[in-house]
Amino acid sequence: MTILMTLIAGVVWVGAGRGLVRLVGGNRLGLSPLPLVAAWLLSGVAAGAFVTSVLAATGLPVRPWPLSAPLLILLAVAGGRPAAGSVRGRPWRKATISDLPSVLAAILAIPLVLAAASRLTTGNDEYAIWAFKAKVLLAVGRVDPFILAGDPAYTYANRDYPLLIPSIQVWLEGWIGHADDRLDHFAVAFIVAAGFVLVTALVGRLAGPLAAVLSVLGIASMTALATNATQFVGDATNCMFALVLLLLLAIGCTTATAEGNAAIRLAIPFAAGAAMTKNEGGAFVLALLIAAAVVIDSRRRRSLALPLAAAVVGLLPWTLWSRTHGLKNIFVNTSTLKPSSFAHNLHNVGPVLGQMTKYWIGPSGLAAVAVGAVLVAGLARAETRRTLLFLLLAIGLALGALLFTYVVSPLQGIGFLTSNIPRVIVFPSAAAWVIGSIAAAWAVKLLRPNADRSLPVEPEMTLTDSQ
Amino acid sequence: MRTILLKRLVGLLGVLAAVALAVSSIPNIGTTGDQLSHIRISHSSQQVLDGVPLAGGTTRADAEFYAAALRILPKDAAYHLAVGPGPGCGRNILKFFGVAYLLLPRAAVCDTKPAYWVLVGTGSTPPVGYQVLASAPGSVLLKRTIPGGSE
Repeated sequence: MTILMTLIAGVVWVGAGRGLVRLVGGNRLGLSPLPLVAAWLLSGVAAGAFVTSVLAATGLPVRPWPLSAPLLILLAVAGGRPAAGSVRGRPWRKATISDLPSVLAAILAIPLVLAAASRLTTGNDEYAIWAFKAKVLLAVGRVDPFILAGDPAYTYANRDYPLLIPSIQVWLEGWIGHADDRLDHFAVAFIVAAGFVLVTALVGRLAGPLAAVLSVLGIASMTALATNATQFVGDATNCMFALVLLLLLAIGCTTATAEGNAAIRLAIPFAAGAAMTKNEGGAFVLALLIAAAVVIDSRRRRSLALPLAAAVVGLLPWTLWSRTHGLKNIFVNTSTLKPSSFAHNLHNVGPVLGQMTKYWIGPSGLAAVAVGAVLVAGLARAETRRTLLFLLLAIGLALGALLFTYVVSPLQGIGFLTSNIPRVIVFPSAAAWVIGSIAAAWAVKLLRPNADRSLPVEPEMTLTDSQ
Repeated sequence: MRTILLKRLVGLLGVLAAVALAVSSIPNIGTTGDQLSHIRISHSSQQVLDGVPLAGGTTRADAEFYAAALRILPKDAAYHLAVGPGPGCGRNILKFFGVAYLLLPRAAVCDTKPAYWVLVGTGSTPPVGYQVLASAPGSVLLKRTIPGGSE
């Protein structure tokens, strides 16, 4: 029964995601079947998180029934039926050799999902921050203002954090009708794995199969990211939502075609998803959208308002609820942003930078030198300059946001930084790997005859989503 | 001619970068696999007793104690929780959150007004006017028997 209910919960997520993607116009990007389903799953999880946030903030029941499940099913139905004459039943026949890197990503993610599925909720952050909120919401059936806001004993439980990760537990355990730590861990890892598949497909779309393979190898080699993804915490999930957003904006900002517009539309659920996963996610979304606004053609800049609005709307319910109940962000708030406090904390720049460097996850040594050289070379070429500028600006702003957060934070000390930086640095680190892979692949293309005409790489429209 | 040479040079740098990325990442994929395998093996054997994971130093006696607390404490009750020696909630804040999580949705509070107390590793003896409802080595669940009584 548990397996059947889990499958139903997963199908509703995917269906709702498909509906959302189609409603916002992201289906016109023409992803292949595997990454397309991954995009639907992540979008469905984001939609579920938003529904949970709205229900929690309004004091309504948050379990799947009577409201969440009908709302997500409604979203799935709103996405419409498959178009007449569409490819149905055998979508894999439309897969091409360019999908192999995504398949490789899926295969490499299997050990991650298996490891996660063995875990119980025994980690400090798991039970103190993430599963804590889910358990309260599930047990009470709706928000409990005393535990989730009033009780000072939970001051350091980051109760202001958005609800995407807790909503996963609320959704799944609500369907199966009992607690299941291993299922919760499996779900988070599976979502990360789906993000990995989608990231790989988007890298391939942007820079070809070589970049996609290098990106797969790089991300799969990030032990810290993989072990984090086995836990019921938000960093790996946040990393994947943000990476997908980064790549969709890279495609969208530099391609003034229907494909580019569709990429920006598909960015809508991912901007919301990243913002609803962690407070850093909101900072990353802002950093990526600012970078996009700098490089995008001024006539298309307005289109970025949609992913920005999605992130704001996604954050709004729980932020309003927590602020009206006296909760505040313990890192960045009116006290820590005071000029006097900021000036007082400036001496933290050195230690925070030191920890960010120490826990940076590749590339290092020879790889860093080679990638740096290719990046410089890539920036010198008009065909790829804008995309690389966007990617570098985005990662620079994201790192700046992290640095700022930890410099102004009232919590300091090596112990605190050591327990935080290795987790939050996974997104910039993974983004750096991806950017290095893209730059290297673009540079390799220069060895081809007629290289000028092959840059920045042909999009491969393998399947127009008409399912 | 110079442009073509420059392109070739950048292209070769790209090849070098691609090789460097692949070479520096592949060995770590093995390390990642080993770590994941270790996590799977070490966690698969962890058992759950009455909803309490037997992990992180939690013994069977501890689990039985928490299970008893779950049965005894009313679901909508607030209870005083102290973990580790020290005033208020005690000094072991990480374990505090662990115990508080197990006993949710009952609200753990630091003040001593509630009728129910859960003391874990505090090293203190039960105060006068409190009845022991359940216990395990180092842990005790108390209920106030004198109206208005406290420490």
